[in-house]
Amino acid sequence: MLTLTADQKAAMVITAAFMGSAAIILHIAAIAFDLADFLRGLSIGLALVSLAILLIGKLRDEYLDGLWKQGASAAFATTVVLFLVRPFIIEGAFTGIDGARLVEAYAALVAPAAILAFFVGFYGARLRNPA
Amino acid sequence: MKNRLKVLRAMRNWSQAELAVHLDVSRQAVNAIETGKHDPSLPLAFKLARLFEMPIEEIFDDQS
Repeated sequence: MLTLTADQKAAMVITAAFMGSAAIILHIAAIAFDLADFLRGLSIGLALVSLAILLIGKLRDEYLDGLWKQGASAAFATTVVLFLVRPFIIEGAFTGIDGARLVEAYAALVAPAAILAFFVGFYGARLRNPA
Repeated sequence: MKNRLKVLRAMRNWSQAELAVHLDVSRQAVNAIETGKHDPSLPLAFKLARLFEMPIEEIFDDQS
């Protein structure tokens, strides 16, 4: 059975984070530019797999746990902000057919935006301590 | 939190990677602790104390 060192596990998690951040950017682009459905499905699937690897990895190493916490804080803050500004962006700014599209796009983008914020927080913490 | 980890590691001629193997953590975790960017958990602090055969207070300094 293959046994990985803590360093190898950390490297695998960092690679998964890179994959996840690329995937969520692709997912947001797929929504914003109305790209093929399979791209949306593939990208969000990759992002969720990446988050699962990060969640498991953070349980095994303190450094990764710290990065996870920074990412989770950023994701939570983003979710709260998007919840609070929703009335001002959607209901206060647009009407008619554009308003309907905006509501749909906003609803579809909240979760990916939170996941993107997670990776921004994750990499922000990593850049502050380039170990 | 300030610490003497780098000095203690150098006294034994260990690289960060070698210390990480002794502690069963990643090299990144060792680096984060040495640079004061991350405070170790209590179990890890005790591991360090046992590894270097000295009290935790002689490795870490929370006063400065």
